[in-house]
Amino acid sequence: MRRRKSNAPASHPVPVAVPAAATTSAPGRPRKSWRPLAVLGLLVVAGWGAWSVWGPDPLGEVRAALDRREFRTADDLLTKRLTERPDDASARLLAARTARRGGNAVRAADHLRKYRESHGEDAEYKLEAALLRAQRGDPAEADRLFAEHVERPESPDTALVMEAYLEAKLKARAGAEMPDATTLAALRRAADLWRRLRPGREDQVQGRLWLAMIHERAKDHPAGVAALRDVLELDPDHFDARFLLALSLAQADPDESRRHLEILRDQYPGNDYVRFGLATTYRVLGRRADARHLLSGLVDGPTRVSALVELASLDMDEGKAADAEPRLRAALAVAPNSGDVNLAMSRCQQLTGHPAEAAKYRKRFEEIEAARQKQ
Amino acid sequence: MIAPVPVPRRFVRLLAVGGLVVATLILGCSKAPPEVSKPVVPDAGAPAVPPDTGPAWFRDVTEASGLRATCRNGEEADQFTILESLGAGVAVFDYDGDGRMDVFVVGGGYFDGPTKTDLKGHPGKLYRNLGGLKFEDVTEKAGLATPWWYAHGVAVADYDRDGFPDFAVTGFGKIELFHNEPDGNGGRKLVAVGEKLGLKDSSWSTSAGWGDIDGDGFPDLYVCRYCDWSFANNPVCKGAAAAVARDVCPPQKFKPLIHALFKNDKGTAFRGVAAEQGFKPDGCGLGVVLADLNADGRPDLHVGNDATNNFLFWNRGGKLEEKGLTSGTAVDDTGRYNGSMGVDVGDYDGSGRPSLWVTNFQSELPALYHALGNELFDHRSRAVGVGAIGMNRVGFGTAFVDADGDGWEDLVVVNGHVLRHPSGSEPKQLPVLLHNTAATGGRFFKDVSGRGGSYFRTAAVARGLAVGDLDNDGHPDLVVTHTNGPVAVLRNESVGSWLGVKLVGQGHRDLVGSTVTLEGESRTLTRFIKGGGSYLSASDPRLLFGLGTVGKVKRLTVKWSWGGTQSWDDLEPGAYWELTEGQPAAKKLPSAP
Repeated sequence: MRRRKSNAPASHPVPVAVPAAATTSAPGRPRKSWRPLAVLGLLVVAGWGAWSVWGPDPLGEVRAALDRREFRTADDLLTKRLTERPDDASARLLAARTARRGGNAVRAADHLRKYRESHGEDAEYKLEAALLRAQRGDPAEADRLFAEHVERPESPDTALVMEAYLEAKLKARAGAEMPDATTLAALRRAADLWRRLRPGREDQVQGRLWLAMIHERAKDHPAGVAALRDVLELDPDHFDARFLLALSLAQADPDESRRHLEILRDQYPGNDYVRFGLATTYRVLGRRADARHLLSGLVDGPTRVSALVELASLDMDEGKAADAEPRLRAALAVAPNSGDVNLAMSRCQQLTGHPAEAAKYRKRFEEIEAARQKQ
Repeated sequence: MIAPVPVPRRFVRLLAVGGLVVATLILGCSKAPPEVSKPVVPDAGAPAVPPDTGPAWFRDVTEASGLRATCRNGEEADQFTILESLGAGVAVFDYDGDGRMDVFVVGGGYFDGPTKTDLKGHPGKLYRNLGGLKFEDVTEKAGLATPWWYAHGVAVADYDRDGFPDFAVTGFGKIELFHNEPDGNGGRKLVAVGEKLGLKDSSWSTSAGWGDIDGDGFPDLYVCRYCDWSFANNPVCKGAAAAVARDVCPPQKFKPLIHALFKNDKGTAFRGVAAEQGFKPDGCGLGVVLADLNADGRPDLHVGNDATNNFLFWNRGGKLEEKGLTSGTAVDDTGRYNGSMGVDVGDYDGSGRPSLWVTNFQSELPALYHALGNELFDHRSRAVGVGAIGMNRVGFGTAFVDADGDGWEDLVVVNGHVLRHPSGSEPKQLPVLLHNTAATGGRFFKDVSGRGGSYFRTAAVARGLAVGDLDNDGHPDLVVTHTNGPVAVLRNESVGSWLGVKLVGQGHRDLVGSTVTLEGESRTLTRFIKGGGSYLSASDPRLLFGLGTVGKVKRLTVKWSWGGTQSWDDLEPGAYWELTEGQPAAKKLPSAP
């Protein structure tokens, strides 16, 4: 028997069954005739068992990658494996799991479908399907899985369930109202359990990151910031943690926020979101030239509209409202229903002496805001 | 004092303009493709300022001053009312006419009775300035040892033009007007005359400011009102953090009240004219300042409202026209209202125009509404570097004040949360001292709180702030109130050339709305005669000009709010001068330290 199909990471104890050798004899047959065969059989079985345990594991690299939370690498390896062995049930299920854990629900569902078509809805399938439903935004499923596993730390599935629960509850609710006390307690428990069950460095980092997010949801800002600092202590190159920390500090200490964003800018010089965040922080700090320089390089990227608005705002801050107008016209052409663009255009029209136009854009801004608040 | 938002919304919202949400950002960009980093050009916006070191600008002299007052809010009753969040203010004024600035501290209030629902007031305290920064408690002697109500604010003016300053005190369920009159023994006393003169208000009033709105020469009284809280309308609100079962409710739980304007009938009677003015119940008022904001000579009003749009009333010959939104002063640069508290007016950029400064709630920047002229303002907080102080404070008392005497008005903000368990902040907060410095393309406010002395390194729940030259040394001192903590007296330790001015209108006409310009060798300074300002507080009515960057004083010109101008030449620095309307000679006031 090989390792069980579940995607329990290597750091987690995995039960390995060694096949027992046949030792009983069948009566009524000459001893000499069956003995060599028995020895041979014993050797075959023992060899097979040893190979199973100590031989090369085709999914070992995948599991190692998953232990490092390198879902893309794991996915690449699994794709290769499934291309060679499309009927490998373990690989198929692991691929579904990897895709889900990496945030690609569509790919996860596709792998699961293929698994079901060839292997039916066995227990492994059912668990993975439930985890996917939970992570796709089914709170009742998440709660059910949590309740079933939270008192079973010995189960090899518990860590995975806690992970899915945290992902489902935290990321699906990003920006939502503060969870109730029961949910917060469950989230804390899930994060604690995860950290206990998954001692690997990357998983510990992830656990601390979740903890930071839980603190933020609980509006316990200092604890959230402390947890993010903990993450960075373990992994100074952790993008998410540093970016979240920069966001968290933007209000209380914009200068420290700037320092984190500058580190990220140096590490990821091509990341438009980091550069945009840094530019807005420079503007908050009154460093207009630095902000302008960064924003000028962003007007063709994914943050184009925001960059145009910020550049126009800088123009207006510097008393050059006429320069702002073409930028805002360009932004409006891309995002006519953006509240920020309409508001900035209202300011621009006011500053350039067109109060009626200003009022029109202001009204549009208010309509957009009202619609946003209704949602 | 709106509820806090944990993530800076502008930052996030601007990101979202491009079709993104924070979660996507956080999860989606960990593996960004590499790109060659471009060099960041040297900044042309932020100024080159010297390190934040050097002698302290202020010294805490509270202990030696003998001024021992505490404003209380009664929170020990654990009623968690929004009433407790406002605090109490302070006034700096010369009540006895001896040339030294005295101090009146509003007492606040508490909850009494078996159910702790009877509102009572702590007495206000009057301190006479004995000179040398020593004060004597003259509350009883001045006739103020009377029953008090739950009081908040104080506004000072000579409402009857008898030459002595009177004051109004606001609060919950009552306004009182105290008339300054002889005590029969050569001293002065304060006599409650509100009821007699019709200055009555059973509502909930906060900051107030005097100014001659209708141009009849007598100052009228604008009174901010807050919201419709009472014990009959006292919901239980959960805390900002999950672990906090109850905290003070935000103002959004209540309805705003109509503000009041009391017309002063030649010092003999007052009449509420809010209905005539068409005031509406759409602002939870906390701060008001009166000054000539459009250079037409008449005092206009800016009102800081909590969790509702701020007001800007243009004075159209006595009729007030609310134009907050079109003037650009109702909301911030994200287009949304703030939780506004303290307000002030100043010419921060040497343009001669009055810009507005407003302190705001957590997660919001204090607002600098830069005056553009033509009755327009532009929100410029980011442009002038104010964002560097962060947004985790709740700002209350504030003032433009030239703390270092360089002729540029700096900013002081005192802070303190309204919640007992705020999220992302603390109840006790540090004050802020912002130095007005030169920068490419304009002015820049540099956080120099480290130069403020020990007071600026101590977190507190501060509320009121009044500015005044308590020792007549030509450098503005500060008096700060704290909720359930002692009032602080901060002596300005700066040195340098200065000129002080005490204006006197004919027949002690009210001066609010007048504008004063001082022409120096190298530049011109403009100051505005203001009513109200700061938060629940009233400051020294005299004007101080720091002459550090001005050179020789050539001329000082007063544009009286009722029309006409008058100039005085070659005033000698280092003294206070009394400039009386119609009198060509300035009178040098005797030094009274």
